[in-house]
Amino acid sequence: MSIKRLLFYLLLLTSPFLLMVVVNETTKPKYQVHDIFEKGDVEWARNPEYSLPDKCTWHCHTPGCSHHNNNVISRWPVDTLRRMIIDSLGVSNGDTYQTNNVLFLVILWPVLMFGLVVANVELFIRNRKKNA
Amino acid sequence: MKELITPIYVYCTDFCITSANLMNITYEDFCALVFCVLWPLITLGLSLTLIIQLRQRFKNK
Repeated sequence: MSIKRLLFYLLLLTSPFLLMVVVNETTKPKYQVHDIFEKGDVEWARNPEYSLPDKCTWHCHTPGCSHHNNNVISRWPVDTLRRMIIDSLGVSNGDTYQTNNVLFLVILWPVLMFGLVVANVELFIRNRKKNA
Repeated sequence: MKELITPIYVYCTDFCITSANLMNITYEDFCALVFCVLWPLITLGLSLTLIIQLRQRFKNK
């Protein structure tokens, strides 16, 4: 495998995380959130815990989005699927939910998509070489 | 383990909330767009192209 292709794969794998860092680092974590934690733990966050009328905050995450009447995508059946994903990650237990969320939605699923991209590209190159 | 997971979870959720606000959509809409529409479509599309390519490869053998 060439260095160029390796760099392409590396960029592909890291770009979503880099995007997350770029978006998050534009604001400083200045709000304390504690409602999502069971044992009274406090964490610093970039969005406030209280509800705001014109934008989403942690309030939309924990008790439910107060702007859900404005939803365009998250309507039936997509909303049902979204709720099924949340329930399957064990939302009733805060610690388990966080762990499952990070494990499946931050690590496993992105790694699966990355693996599929690599497999597709490699197979495409091999098929092209074979047919040439 | 919890000390490691919680900051990652908060960081990622903050990203979803901030992105939703930047895109002028709700947090629920952003999550639905990413986890219920885009990612499943990408995964399905990539799986299908992989199957098609594998079939072509074995057909030509």
